[in-house]
Amino acid sequence: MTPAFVAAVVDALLPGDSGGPSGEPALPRGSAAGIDIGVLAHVHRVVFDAIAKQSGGSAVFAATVEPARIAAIQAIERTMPEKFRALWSTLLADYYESAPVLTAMGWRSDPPQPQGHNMPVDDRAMAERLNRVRRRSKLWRDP
Amino acid sequence: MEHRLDPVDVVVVGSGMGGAAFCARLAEQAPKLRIVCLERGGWVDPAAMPPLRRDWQRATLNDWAASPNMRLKSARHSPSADYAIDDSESSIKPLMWSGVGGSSVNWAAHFPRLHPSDFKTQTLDGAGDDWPFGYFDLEPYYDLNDAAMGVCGLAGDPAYPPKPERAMPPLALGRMGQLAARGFDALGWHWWPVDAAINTTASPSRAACNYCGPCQQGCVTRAKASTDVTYWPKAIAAGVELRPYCVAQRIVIEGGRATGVIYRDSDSRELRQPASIVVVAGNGIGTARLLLASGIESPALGRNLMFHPGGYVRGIFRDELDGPAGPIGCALYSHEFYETDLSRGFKRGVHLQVTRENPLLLQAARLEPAWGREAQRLLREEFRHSMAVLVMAEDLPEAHNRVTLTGRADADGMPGVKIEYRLSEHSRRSLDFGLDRAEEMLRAAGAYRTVRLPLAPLTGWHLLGTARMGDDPATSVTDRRGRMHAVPNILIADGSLFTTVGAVNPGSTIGALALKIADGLAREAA
Repeated sequence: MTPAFVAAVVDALLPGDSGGPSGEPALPRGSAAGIDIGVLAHVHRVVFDAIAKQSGGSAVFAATVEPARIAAIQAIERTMPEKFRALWSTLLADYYESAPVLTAMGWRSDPPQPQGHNMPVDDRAMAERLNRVRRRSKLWRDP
Repeated sequence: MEHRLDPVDVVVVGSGMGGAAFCARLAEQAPKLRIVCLERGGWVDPAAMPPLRRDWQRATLNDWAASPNMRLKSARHSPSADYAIDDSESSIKPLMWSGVGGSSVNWAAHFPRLHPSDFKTQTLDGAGDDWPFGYFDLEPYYDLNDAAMGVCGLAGDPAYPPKPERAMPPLALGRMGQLAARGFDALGWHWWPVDAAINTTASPSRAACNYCGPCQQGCVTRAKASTDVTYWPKAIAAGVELRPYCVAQRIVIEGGRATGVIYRDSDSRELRQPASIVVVAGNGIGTARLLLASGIESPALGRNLMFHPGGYVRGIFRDELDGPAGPIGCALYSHEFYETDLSRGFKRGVHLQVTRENPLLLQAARLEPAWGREAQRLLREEFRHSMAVLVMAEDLPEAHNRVTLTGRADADGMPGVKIEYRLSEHSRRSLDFGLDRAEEMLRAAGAYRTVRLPLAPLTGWHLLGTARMGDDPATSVTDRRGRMHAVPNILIADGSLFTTVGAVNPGSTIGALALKIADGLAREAA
């Protein structure tokens, strides 16, 4: 199992994109998001081996077109769903917690604390909307 | 043979909302009583909470998952002292936290009260059963509980009887909440900012909320109220002895009365704590488990398990929203459809709650398809552009929904526990009605697409009804004072007591009930 093959599988699952509609940076491919491909391959070897076998070999998978890669992965997702889900869960967390991905999605990579977030203060229009609700007759029933 | 400890007046099992409120109030009202509380877990260190870590998102799926079963399967050690729950025959999965503070450690702190009609559902609507007392009997205790926990919000909501001014102003709605308000307004429907047990102004020992988001991973700043930071310091100062890492195994019953509790401590020693009164506050599953494991027989014990079945509709908007920031359970709610209107085809009502949105990883994890280009395209479209409306329906009591023992020993030394729960046709109808209304509001607010989750399985926070109050021992487990019909010196002080559950979060009512029961016991002890 070569690093190129593992990277090709990861990139089929997480292909990335060319950027967001409001000018956000491109989402990186899975293999370019700082994920430790070697550890991933070691821990989930059974799944990667099955994908390689399904494709006729890891070199064939790495060389083939995207639809064929996706078909091979989908076949393994069906035949070993639990093991595939374990791989996907690991990959999902590693990818969507990585700084380049968070930045590309317009979010910060620092944890929630101690910084927190700024929340805009409710304006006068909101207060007026609330007054309309406040003026309604009671909605609760008195038993 | 267990080691026998010196007797106390009252031993309480569980330190969550019910147990904490009960202990603090009883110690205040009856200071001469010696009170011990047994808690199966420990204190949580805020410095070790996930929101300070870069890998905080994955904690929600592992050591800080809301589900104890998920935490037990996690490769990471969880600070919650969990026990497994066989939920294979339940369409809703139970969620809880086992440690000092109970599930208030990782709750969302949305703090609504029941409505007056919720206490009289049989009289008013011919549905469920009436509570043995009414809203206005509990109202003073709601007020006391609000003061002890610290509640932000806004008085004047026409969906409720008048409430005192809230101690702190409401949480800011943000762009997402303001848009939701405009949606409700466009339809002429009720909406109101939530009451939340969250500081919006700092107090001496707790900061003001800085809108970090993941309340369900514990609150680093202590802005969110949990009983380990509200009730427990007062209870301990008043003389209550809290014993963490002590797992109650069974209540000792002799001659028809409880004489104490056998528990395992952190060194796996078996100890016997004699007591004149035993109080159980282990939530709707843990309480029933302990009582059943103690051999107590009562026809309704463990039965009538109620959750609040929940479903979601997400609206996707072209405008950028701030959903993933801010306390997860809190923005605003609508009780436009809370009270019965038979033209809808069901009795009772629904609660619509605009919550904050999930972080990126969780939003990615719910996509269909799960992976590939289309999944990432959808995530681009939805992240920071979505608004979620939670629809909560009122479960009605049904005896076949229940907690039982498995007959197998669990790792904590107790018999294993199982829940059986089927979503009723009534709950399905009310959920569908609510989901339709949520979609209507989202469209009115400008959503160009909606995504519906008809039943969210991981919403089983509210574990209620398995030791319900009532006057008839054939259909209830305790009387109006929380005393068991079968063993009168055992009291219950948690959500198990609920006769019916309304359609709102129960934390506020659990705390108020526990205070009321503590007052009753203090009067009798005087």
